[in-house]
Amino acid sequence: MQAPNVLMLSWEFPPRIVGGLAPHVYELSRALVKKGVEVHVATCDFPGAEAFEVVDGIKVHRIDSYGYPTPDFATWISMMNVNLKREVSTILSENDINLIHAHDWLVASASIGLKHMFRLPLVATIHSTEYGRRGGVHNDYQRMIGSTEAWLIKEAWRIICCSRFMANEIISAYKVSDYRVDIVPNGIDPKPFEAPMDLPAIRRRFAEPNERLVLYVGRLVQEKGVSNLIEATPFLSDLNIKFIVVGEGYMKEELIRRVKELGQEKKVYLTGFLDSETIRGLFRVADACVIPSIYEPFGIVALEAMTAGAPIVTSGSGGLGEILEHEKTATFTASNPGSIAWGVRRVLTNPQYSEALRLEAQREAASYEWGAIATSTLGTYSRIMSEYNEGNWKPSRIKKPKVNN
Amino acid sequence: MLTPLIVSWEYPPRIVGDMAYYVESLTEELNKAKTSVSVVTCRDSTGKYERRSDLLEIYWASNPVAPHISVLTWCLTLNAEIERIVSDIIYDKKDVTHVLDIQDWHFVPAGVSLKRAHGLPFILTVHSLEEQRSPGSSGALSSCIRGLETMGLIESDLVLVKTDQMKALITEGYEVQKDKIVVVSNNGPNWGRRILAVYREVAKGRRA
Repeated sequence: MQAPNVLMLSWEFPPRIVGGLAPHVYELSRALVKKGVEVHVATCDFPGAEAFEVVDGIKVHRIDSYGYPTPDFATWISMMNVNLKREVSTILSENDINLIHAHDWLVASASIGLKHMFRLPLVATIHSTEYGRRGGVHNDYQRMIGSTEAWLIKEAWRIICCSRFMANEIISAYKVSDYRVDIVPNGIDPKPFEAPMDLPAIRRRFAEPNERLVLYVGRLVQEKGVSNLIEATPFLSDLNIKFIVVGEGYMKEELIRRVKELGQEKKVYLTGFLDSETIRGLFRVADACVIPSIYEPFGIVALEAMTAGAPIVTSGSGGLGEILEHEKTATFTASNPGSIAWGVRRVLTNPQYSEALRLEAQREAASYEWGAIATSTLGTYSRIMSEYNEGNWKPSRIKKPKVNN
Repeated sequence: MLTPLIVSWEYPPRIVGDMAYYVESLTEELNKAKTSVSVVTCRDSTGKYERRSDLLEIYWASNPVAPHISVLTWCLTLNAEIERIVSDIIYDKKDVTHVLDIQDWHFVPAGVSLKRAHGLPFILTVHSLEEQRSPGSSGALSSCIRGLETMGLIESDLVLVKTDQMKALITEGYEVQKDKIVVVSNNGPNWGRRILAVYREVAKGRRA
């Protein structure tokens, strides 16, 4: 069967990078293009980025994402969806597109409206759920988002999840039949991690020559467990470690305050946002990478650390437990400061052990190459198109206005 | 055959303000002129369709998401359901020429997208403006509603109002050309026929 022409809807796409969605949609789209699929991406605008451009073969449409004041984030998302749907209506009218691929609840309203107006099949990748992000839903705001996720899941022909953990969460939280869910992991492109770089300079920028470098990369939010890492730092004061904490998030101020209270200002460096190249360099020079997540649908940071060859200490929560294996590709710990300190100490004080973890993890990372992920995604597309083509639910020619007086 | 698709957030028995009575009267007037009408409206109910007479069909949309944090998120989510219902109608009735008549801002996004997707002629009927309902408000919610009103006024093929005063307000406040706005008072005789003439005119040529 011929590959369908696909329109992806995502609220972020490079250079607009908020979290993991942007690199995911970019890399998946790029890998699909390499396999001969025509891919359009409709996404939010970004200062300095073109309204339309072709990026590595991907046709990127950046829409006015609504820049006026809104009462809250969810209302902005609603207004953004209005604009997205309006512009994509024109894109779909003017292009031969066979399938809509939505990423998360943030584009649910636009995706579902477009599905019905054009009678195109809709596939949804659910990267995480409100229930999982918040540890349950506790107020009407969160319930509304959860309900929007349920609506998207109900309307999608098939659902893609990045891990068995996420699939189970969706199946249990949203009462979805197992047969509608496909597990397609995230992928990684190893090439940027192999590019020539002045690694000693990167190391010098962040740590003293005699310091070991322990790295955390991720949003500074509760679900990532970063506060457990901060609390673990006093337990490791004898090992002369510089903890590099990369990322932004609502917990940043609280973490800075806690680092001071613990007297670890000289040993913990919260860098804030860093560019991708610097982060890749840090992965390559790190003596250990800590991934202490409490909730993790997949854990793309693990793939990055594995590819770069950074020994991993992790909680193994959620999808991390599917990518990594205790004592083979990572050291698993409990989600508490004492256990994290134990794991870091184990990796830093056993060079042969950490080298074995590093090499095995690097080998394992090769199976997450984006080409393989695109092939799996195409499998989902083919199944949907086959069912769609056999059915009657299709657009039909609509009579153009012709009225007699 | 021309069938108006009137989209309103209220229609009896759901009555919020005067709009429900206006739309009900309009359907009666159009029916008197032997014109079949479909009303797409909303109500939380298990019933999705009602044929009230040979010339009047009611389609009820219920919100697929609950709860909501404001009337705005409620309306904007419901727009996708309006798009589904209207699209199903026009796919099912391919021999009919439809004209969309959207009442006020609530379903402007659906009107805009349906026009772009299907080439449907799109009329916006303005009953009142946010500036009148919340004079001088600088609140974010009001700002969003004004944004939706502006989108509807710009993207519609024609704007229907009931008074010259409303026409003046729109031409002054929203930079809409005068000849895009038609005044049809719902007090005079044969007002339904006058609106039907507007529908036909828009369907013929998409005046905008």
